Amino acid sequence: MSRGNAPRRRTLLERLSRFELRGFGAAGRARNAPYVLLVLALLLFPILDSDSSQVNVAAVAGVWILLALGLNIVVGYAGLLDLGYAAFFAIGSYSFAILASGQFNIHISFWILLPLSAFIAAIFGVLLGAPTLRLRGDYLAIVTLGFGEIVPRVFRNATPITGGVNGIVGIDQPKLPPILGWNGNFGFNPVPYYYLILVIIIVSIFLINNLRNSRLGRAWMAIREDEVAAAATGINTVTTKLLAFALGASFSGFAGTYYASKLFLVVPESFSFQAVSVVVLVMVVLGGMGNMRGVIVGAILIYFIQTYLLIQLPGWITSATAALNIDFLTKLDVGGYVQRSNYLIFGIILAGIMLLRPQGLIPSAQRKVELELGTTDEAVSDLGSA
Amino acid sequence: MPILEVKGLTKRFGGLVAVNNVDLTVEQGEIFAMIGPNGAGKTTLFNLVAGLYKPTSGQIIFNGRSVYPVREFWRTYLPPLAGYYTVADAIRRGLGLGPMPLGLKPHAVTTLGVARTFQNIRLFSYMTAIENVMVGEHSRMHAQVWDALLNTPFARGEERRVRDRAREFLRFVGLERYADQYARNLAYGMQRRLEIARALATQPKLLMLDEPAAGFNPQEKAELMKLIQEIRGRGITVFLIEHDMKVVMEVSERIVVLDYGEKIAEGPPQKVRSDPRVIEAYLGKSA
Amino acid sequence: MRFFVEQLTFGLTNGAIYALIALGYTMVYGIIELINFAHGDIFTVGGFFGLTVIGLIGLDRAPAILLLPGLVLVFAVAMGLNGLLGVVIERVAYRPLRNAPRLAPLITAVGMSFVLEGILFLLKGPNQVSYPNLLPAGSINLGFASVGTAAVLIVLIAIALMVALSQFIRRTRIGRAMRATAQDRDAARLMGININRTIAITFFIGSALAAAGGIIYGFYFQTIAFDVGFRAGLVAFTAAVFGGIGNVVGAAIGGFVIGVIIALISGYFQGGAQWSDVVVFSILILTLVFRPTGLLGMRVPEK
Repeated sequence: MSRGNAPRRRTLLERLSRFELRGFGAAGRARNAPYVLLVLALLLFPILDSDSSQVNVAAVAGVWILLALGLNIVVGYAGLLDLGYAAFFAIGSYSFAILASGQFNIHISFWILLPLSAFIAAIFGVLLGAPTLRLRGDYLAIVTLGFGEIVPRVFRNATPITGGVNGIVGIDQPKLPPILGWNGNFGFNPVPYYYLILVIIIVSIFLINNLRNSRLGRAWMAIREDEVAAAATGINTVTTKLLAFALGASFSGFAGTYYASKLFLVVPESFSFQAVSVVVLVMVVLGGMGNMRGVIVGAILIYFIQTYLLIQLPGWITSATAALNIDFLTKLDVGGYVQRSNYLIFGIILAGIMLLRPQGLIPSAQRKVELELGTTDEAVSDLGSA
Repeated sequence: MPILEVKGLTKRFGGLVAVNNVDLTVEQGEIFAMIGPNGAGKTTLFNLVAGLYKPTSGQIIFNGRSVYPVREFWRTYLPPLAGYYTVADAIRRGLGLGPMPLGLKPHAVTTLGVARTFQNIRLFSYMTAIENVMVGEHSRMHAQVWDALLNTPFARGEERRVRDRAREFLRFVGLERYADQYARNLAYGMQRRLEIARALATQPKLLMLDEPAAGFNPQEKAELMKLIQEIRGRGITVFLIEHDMKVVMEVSERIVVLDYGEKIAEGPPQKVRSDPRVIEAYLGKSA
Repeated sequence: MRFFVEQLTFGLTNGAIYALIALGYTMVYGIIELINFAHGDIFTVGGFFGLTVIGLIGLDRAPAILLLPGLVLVFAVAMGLNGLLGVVIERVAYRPLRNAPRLAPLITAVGMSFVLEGILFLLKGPNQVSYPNLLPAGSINLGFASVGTAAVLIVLIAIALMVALSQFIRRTRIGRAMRATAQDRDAARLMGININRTIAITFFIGSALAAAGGIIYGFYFQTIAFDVGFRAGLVAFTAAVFGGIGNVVGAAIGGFVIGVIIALISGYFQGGAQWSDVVVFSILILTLVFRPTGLLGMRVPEK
């Protein structure tokens, strides 16, 4: 075992790397400059790009990014495998749909429901988590999976309230007071939605970063490393895990409300395990569990693959094989195979990353070492404690 | 007043009786040692006191307050959870299974003022030394979720104070220079000291050390004994398990001896050392 | 009364299938403390293996005299292939992560589940594939009701397999090795037991049994699709937990009990089929919260 380096003063870069977005000194400004430029570019994007469908794509990408950030809290920071993340997304969406549409003719304002639905989702997170977070990771995963299956099913069956299979249509859209020549109606215009999600994401990044460097964030890290030692050191593992779960759920619910209002309708099918929960998990795992930048990159990458690559690629391949004029290949319909391969790709990514590069694409330094070399995996409940 | 009282403590694992009807008392401010051959149940007893295991029967009282059994689950579990436990309790009683025997959970015991180290060192390997100690202060901090989320002035101030205090603890055990090293990179002896620093950060009244001198060379043992004296000098009672007789005899004021889960002797070092049952327990094993 | 018997039969038949799947879950969990998420999909693949063999030897068009030996062949081949699949998955996806933090093999297992579903989706498409019913038709008259011969046969086959497994675990050297590895891996290793081989055998047996379940499923429901394993796996896992995870007899009992519960609820309550999943999920949560060791639970050694 090495004795570590001889004591030396930490370089400025090392000290700043712990604070990422916080530095405001000269070096801090240099470090943050690229982010500022990025934010500027994002702000100008809809103005410079007149194609509103692209703005729409970006806005939807924002939803996935938000989901990935939320799941990252649960899986990445606290180390809890939640396979039913879609449930909270659904709860957020349906809460909004029920309370702000023609369904019951209740029309609570979007701006009130946004935080409210986050709160409702958090409550469900606590309800689900309270009895189950004491369980080992494996059981928690299955239970959350079950929950993630049950919730959309309940929504599908509770037709009088939730519109059953057809869902709820005609959901209210947000309104703002008129500014700068815009009448304030969101309507079906993706641009205001885009700016909204951009603001939400930037604020979320700040909040989550604060979380990570706080007493709570440290507690999550400790629990992830060695739950028994964490408990012995005075951390209430159950409430700490519950907080991770509830916070993750609230992000999901928040995203759900935004999504419902943007889409103008909700249907139960859009919230399945395969459609949402696994996709977000792949984003988090691919990008780098526990690392916000990584997770955002992962989200964008998977979103790109799913909504662009997998749709365009079959076409390209088919024309390529046709151009090559190899009979065997065209008969094989490689393009068709590619089109149907998203399950396979996700599975390969999940298993492959865990086996080959568990820290994900953009690891946090600590996580990288942790995952490669193992931690101590005892749950407090395993020890037959009181 | 004794700081720790254990009465009739028994722990069974299936057919094996690990701790058998043990009574002991630790007086406030003393350095108290527990010795015995391997497998005598010493670590099990630590785990029982720390709330990690649930006793089969008996009583544990810390600072006048019952640690086991405890029926006050309202105060030890978050109120929303208490609902689930009440329901479970009612169902259990309905089924004739008896009420839920409860003890304090480990973190609650720590909050009361009992800290412990582990026989096989359980640090947070991928956190730095100072972060490890800062985790130790978790239960003495007051920042809540919103403080964390919003990075309020209160949270910031508290983080600063906690970090400074953590540095102080590191300095106390002599590890100040390694504050930013990952715990897993530290040498063995330093890791043991770090674990002590982390335990001290919980501001305990009773510090339980499980074989703190294991694997130490004589000089390190001497430093450890000095450290233990200093810890006691700060008003913390020290309860240690140790195999090294020299350390035990020199540093402790009273000793209890366990063998096969039973107490076979108790008293000041000289008396215990010449107790025939103790000698037989040790020699009898190796013969 | 007749309706009750009908539902009961339906429940027991389903239960037999669930039990066969549950055995795999419980054995694997007992030995490496991992929930093999891919196991439900291994069940589906087994069913497809069976279908392929049936097609290859043309059993669906064969004369009745060849039916029995044909079936034996189908089962043997499909179970063998599936067993191998299980071994391969363990070797490739789980063994390298045996010492990694628990999160890693869990995620990999989910990944493998998707890989299997993905391959089936690619090769067989999203729709139901029809499956010949090679079970004997007809029914047995019990006086107050009649029971399908096929159903009886299924339950008997399942029970026979489970008894065989149980005897295997209890009486053979390999079975003892499995039990030892499940209880204390390091001690077993010190006794000279080849841990890797023992674990591989466990996976083989579990996957083979799942294949049997898959083929039976195909016969009984006469269709199969790439994603039937997902739901069946969840139910079977609940059965395994309910019966006592790690306990083979428990898994079997759990499977039958849950199968019957689902059938009775679907039968007697309007729209019950929709809510049966909620019931199963509730059973899972209630078991885990109040009696995590299940009915016949193996108490996990505490130290």
